[in-house]
Amino acid sequence: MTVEKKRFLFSCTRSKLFVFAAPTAAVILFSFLFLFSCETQSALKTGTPSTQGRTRYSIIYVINGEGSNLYHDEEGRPLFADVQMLKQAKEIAREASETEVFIFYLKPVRLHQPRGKLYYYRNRLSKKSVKRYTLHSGISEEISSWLEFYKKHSLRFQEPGVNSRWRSFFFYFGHELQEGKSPVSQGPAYLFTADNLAHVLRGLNADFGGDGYGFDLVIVSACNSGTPGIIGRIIPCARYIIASPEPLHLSHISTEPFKNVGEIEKKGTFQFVMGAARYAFERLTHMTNTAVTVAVYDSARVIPYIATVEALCMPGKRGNPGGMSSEKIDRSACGPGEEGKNSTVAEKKTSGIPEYYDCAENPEFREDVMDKGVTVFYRPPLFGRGKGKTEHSGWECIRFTDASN
Amino acid sequence: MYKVKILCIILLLFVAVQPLMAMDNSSRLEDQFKEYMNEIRMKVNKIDDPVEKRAMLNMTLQKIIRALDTVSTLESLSEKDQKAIAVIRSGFQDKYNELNGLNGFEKVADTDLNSFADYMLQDLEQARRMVSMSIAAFIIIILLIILIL
Repeated sequence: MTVEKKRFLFSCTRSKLFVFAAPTAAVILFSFLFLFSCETQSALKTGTPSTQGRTRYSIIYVINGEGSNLYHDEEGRPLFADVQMLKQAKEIAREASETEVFIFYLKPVRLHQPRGKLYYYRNRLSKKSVKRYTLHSGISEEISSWLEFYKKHSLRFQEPGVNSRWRSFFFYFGHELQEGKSPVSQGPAYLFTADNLAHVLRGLNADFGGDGYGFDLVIVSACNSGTPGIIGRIIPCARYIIASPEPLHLSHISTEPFKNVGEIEKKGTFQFVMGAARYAFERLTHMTNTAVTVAVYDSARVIPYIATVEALCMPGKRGNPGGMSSEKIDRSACGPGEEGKNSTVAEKKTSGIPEYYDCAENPEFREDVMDKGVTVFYRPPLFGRGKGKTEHSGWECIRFTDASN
Repeated sequence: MYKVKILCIILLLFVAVQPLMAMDNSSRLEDQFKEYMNEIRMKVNKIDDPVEKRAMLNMTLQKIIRALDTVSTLESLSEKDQKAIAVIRSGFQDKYNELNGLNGFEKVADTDLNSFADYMLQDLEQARRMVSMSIAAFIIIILLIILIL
């Protein structure tokens, strides 16, 4: 073989090697960058900036897509609850006038895919969306990024004097919230706790300037969210709460009525909230054969006795089941640095196997006291043990069976 | 050179497969179980004969109960897992009893079998009954139901 031929062969091999190896190396390099990076990467996606028209409603969605979100419609088609909810949140954002909408979407931890996405819309226009690639961050880092994003973009925060009366709404969608400071189960699917939710509400409320309850309405669209423990944590931040004190189908509580959020001015907050709860209830009863329970909690009327309801779920806890509790929730607790101020809900045992039951089944439950300010839309399941149950108190108690017993 | 190429291909495959490997395995299995139950529901809806409908639902429930029984006998299972499995088993046992009118349940009428199949699926989709047990126990149960029994 001549020297030229050898040189030619060598250069061919080297160029082939380069053609093959370069993209591979690039892919590996980028993979490692994603794998070990704890920074966020953002992508700007803006619509035409809207500076015209006032903005007086603020809607915040937290969509937790962790865990299994698959469900099927009547035709057997697969749907993913988090994706459906994100779609609806975007629809609301594009249709609700005079409204700013924040969507904080949390996805399961997977390589090469965003950990989550944050969206901001104002007056029907997409203003900003940011992908988060932080792979190894905990839930508290994610929450911090939401609060930071909100602080940076919310008109309410940026221009606090722009409107004298803002109305604000907060919607959480996801699997059952674990009570207590750490999740009952292991694995990334169950990271979000009631404390996390309370932390988010407190963080956002601080930015709102502490006008009363902070939020006109908080919806907790998750299974078994109507427990005294969960309601007690968020009640200082919400004028009204919609939650489900029983399992809730993955098709969730719909927020469709918020396309016309301006109707709240004509109807008044209470009537608007009741209309939204009724809409969600009717939609769910039409779609499912399981029990449907949608409850509306009027904070001003529930706060005086919530500690007493919780005492029913926690034998030995202070409280006065026979009447109004002296241990009241401090509404000023919905602010920064107030973690655990409502100590009535901070000591619950959260290990073992959870078992839920209607608090009214407890002989000490006082209907004349403990149904004040709670409106329940209830349809029993069409089959199963609960088939004959005609009503629900709106309060779901939880007891943990100790596995070692 | 050949070895370098092989090494590069392996690395490339490794990078490509990583996202799948990193997925939350228990969620994927839960999804598979839901898909399996949806298939049963759709089959039941397509069958005209109520006797056949009921037989298919019975067979499915028996299979699930058998899988749960098999796993609960494993010695390596923790006490917590055993209790969690017992809770889940009692839910499926209730459905079996109701389908056949046993243990005080009113028997599901022939005309309601499609609705009952829907209910079985929706009950599974809405409630995370498996969350109380360890991932290992959960994986074994789903594999037994879907692949083996």
